[in-house]
Amino acid sequence: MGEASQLKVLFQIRRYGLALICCGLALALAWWLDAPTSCLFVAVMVASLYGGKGPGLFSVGLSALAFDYFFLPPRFHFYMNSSSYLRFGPFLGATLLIVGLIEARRRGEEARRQIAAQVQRSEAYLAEAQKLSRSGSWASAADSMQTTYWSEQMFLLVGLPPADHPPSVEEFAALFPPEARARLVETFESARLKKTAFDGDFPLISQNGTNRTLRIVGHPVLGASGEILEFVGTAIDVTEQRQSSAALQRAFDEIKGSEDRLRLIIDTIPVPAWSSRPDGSSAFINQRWLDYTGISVEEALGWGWKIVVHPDDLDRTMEYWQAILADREERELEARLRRFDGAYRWFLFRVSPLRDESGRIVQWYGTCIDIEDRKLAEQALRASEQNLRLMVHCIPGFVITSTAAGEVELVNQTLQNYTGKPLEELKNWPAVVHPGDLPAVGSLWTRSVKTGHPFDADVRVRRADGVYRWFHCRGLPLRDNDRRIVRWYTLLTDIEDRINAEDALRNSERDLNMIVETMPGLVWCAAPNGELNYVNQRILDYIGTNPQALAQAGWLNFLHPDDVQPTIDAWSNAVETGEPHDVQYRLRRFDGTYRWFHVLGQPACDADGHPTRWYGLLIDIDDRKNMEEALRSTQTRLSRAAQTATVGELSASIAHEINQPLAAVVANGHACLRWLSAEPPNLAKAHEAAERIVRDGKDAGEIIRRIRALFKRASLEKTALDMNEVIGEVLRLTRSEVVRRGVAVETELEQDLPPVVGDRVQLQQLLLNLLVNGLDAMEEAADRPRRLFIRSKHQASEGVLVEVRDCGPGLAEPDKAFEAFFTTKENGLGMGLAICRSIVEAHQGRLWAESADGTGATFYFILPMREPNGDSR
Amino acid sequence: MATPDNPIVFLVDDDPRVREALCSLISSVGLRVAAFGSAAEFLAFEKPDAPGCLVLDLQLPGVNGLELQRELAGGDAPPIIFITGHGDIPSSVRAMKAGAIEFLSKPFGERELLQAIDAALALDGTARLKRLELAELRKSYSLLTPREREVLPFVVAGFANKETAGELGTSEITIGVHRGQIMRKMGARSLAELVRMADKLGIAQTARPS
Repeated sequence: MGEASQLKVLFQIRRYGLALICCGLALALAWWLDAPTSCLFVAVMVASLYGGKGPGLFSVGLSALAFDYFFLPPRFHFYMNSSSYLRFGPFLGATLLIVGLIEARRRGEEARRQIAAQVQRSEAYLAEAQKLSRSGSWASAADSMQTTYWSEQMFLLVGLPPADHPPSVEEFAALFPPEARARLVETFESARLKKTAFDGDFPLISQNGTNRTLRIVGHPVLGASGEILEFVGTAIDVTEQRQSSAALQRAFDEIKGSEDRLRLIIDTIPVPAWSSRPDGSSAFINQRWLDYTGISVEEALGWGWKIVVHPDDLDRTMEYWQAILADREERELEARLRRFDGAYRWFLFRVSPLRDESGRIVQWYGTCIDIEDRKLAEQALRASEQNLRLMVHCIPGFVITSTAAGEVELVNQTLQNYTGKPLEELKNWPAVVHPGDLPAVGSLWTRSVKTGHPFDADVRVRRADGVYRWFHCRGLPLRDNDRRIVRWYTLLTDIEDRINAEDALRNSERDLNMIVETMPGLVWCAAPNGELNYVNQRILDYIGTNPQALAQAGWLNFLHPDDVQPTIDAWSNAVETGEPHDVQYRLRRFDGTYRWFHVLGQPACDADGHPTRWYGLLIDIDDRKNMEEALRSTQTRLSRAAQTATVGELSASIAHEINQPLAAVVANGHACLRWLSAEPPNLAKAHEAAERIVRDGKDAGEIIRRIRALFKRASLEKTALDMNEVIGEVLRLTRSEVVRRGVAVETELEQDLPPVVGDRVQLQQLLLNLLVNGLDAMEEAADRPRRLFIRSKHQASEGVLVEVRDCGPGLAEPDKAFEAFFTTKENGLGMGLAICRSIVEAHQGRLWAESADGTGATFYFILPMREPNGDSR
Repeated sequence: MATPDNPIVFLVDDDPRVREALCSLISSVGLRVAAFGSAAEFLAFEKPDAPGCLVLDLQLPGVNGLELQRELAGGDAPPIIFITGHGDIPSSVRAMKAGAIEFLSKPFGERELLQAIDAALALDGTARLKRLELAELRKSYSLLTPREREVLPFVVAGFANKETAGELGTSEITIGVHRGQIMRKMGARSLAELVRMADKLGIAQTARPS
């Protein structure tokens, strides 16, 4: 048990002891005085008063027991008769009442004491609070400004010494400057009239140079009928508060102004700018940005700004922006932004983060700087630099720059590639120069470096594979404003091929000259105007003169007089038109005889097609001419002879021609007889038959008349023949004729044809006839090329096929062409193709014709091959 | 005169003079004549169902006589009499080898021609009969079942029914039934007749296993 509760118990025991003692004393006194009631009353009173409620009741109990035992009859018994109740009851009631009254009073006393303590404490608190808050409280009368109460703090507030009484109205008024004083009075009067509270700040007259302001607040205390009983209020020193709020206001104003200025600056700086939230979405965008992009701020905020980023840059930009956000570092980025007019320009985005004290990023700030022009300039510069570098490295020459002292500084890539040496090694350039050229080149270079003369030399430079090639070197000095040499630029050009070509040209010229002079041909050259300016030695030898004499006499003097005019005409025409010159004339030999020459001239033309020179040849064709003449007469004779020789072969055809009408005559005769001998004779039919006999007989006579001139049969001499050989012989025989008629003959002769058995002359005749037939057919053809095509071919089963195709008008009836006396020619006898057929049939072959109308006729014949045993099939 | 069986002479010659004369001559002996200028015209002509012969010129425009003969060979073509303006030996040999009745060189006498025509017509009459007979045989043969056609070569080769049954893997009685059917359908009165029919139809007899 604690000491306090021990004390309490002790105190309780003392109180109850007091009650016991009081009761004892009262019993003794009552016994002695025999005034039990009064004595016991006193004892209860004392016990209650000093012991409290518990001891009071205790003493009531003791008193009641003592009164019953000692004083009520029967005495000394607790037993009580009914008459005693009348005394005991009131006694007990009175004692209990006494205890109750005393207890009630004691309680009221206790409560009052506690309230007083509370009030005292509150006042202490208030005073303390007022001191702390520099405020004081006051009360004043209802009708005047005379204050009735001032708290201690009030005095301190106004700087008066604390006193028991509030200052008088005059004293109080003197505290304020006149202006504040008047206002104070006015305020108070107004509040009094309106019965409202008032509140105002009033400056005090400055003391010790400090200006203080008092805030005075007053409330009317109204009575039951609404009249003002008094004013109570407080006064607070608000000097510091006012000062700080004024300072705050000023600071606000300052901030406001600077914010406006900032916004103005931000909006007017010639740079689009913006800020973003930490997540990257934009929070602010300046006017410049909006003006540039032409979109509204609502569109641009958040992520809306993405629409003005160039689509090609968007992904990259977003990626980079996210990286920036992730790295939380200040960065730069280049991207294209769309201008209001749709054009894209390059911008440099520069962003930097704003962090709070804890380093957390609060905002990103960024600007966009237009770098389009810089970008373009950069590109142009890069391109031009690239071009220049490419140019230097790609030009098919070597470029060297050297110092003023002649030391190699730089060489281009081509030279490094060529020599297979890097720049460092090339600084020792004599190492790659041909030793034979080195002394000369070295001294030239030294001299150039010394004098500043351009350097110019041909030199052999070694290639990576060790081969030397000729180069032309040309070096020029670069001089500064003072004419001092700053650097040498040298260009090496590969002239190996040119030198080789020059050598080759020289050689070929020499060779050509030798060829022209020694060849067994006659060669001449002429100027574009036709003037003869060169003839080779052979021509001079032929005509037996020398160049001077030829020049004097003129070449026309050596021509046959009959050929001079046609030759002049042809040559003038050739010179005029630039067409190749092609004539034949007779040229006088040194011994005075004339020989035929075929003269060919060809112009050499420049790029524009103008002749620069004529080159020509004289070909001696005298022997050929004579031979042609001989051949032609032979041919005519042969043709005649062949025709004679083939008449025998025609007999079958002739027989057929005659037998046809004869057969008709005989049959008609028989028929006529039969009609006549019929029962009855049919005279009409017989007459018809007789008429036909006459007609057909006449026909037969006509045919015989046509054959009259034909010749007798000749015997055949069959041998094994190569058909290609026969074709060749016939072509040779007819070449002149073919040329004369302006026909081109093409052949397609199969090699290694098997031999056929036949009469050479007859087969020649056959081919000759077909050829001449073709030539004749094309006589009229002016609208298409005159071409004759001859082909030989080995047909596996049948023998050798020969085909002769012309470009004539073709055959209307190919089958009839072979009939004797069938002709389309005015002067033809109509025997040519009939003879051909008879020849072919005599050789057991086949002859036929095909014609596609308008594209010429084709004649085919097949001759059987020689059998292995040497006999024909 | 123009009954279907009246014989007809076809004449192909490109020479109108010869055509006219021969038409006149042939019709003077009471034969029908149809004349053509070329092989193509002849081929295009619808021939009546009557005995006939062809008088054909060797030299013709386009398809010549020998070629036409080759073309007609094997069919039901009438016999051919060649006429030619200049008959060379190789052509005549070829013509005769290919089955021509006669080869006449122009000019020829009426007797030669008319005799040849008579012979040709008679020949054609016989040939037509044979063709008719063969056509009937074929018709009969077409009535045989595949099994009967299988059995026929054994029968005509003289196999006994038992042997045939052994070869074909069936019973003797079945073969007997087939045999009866074959005889009935072919209209053969005896085995010998059936053998002749098979021969005409070109049915090979089954060789006896040696």
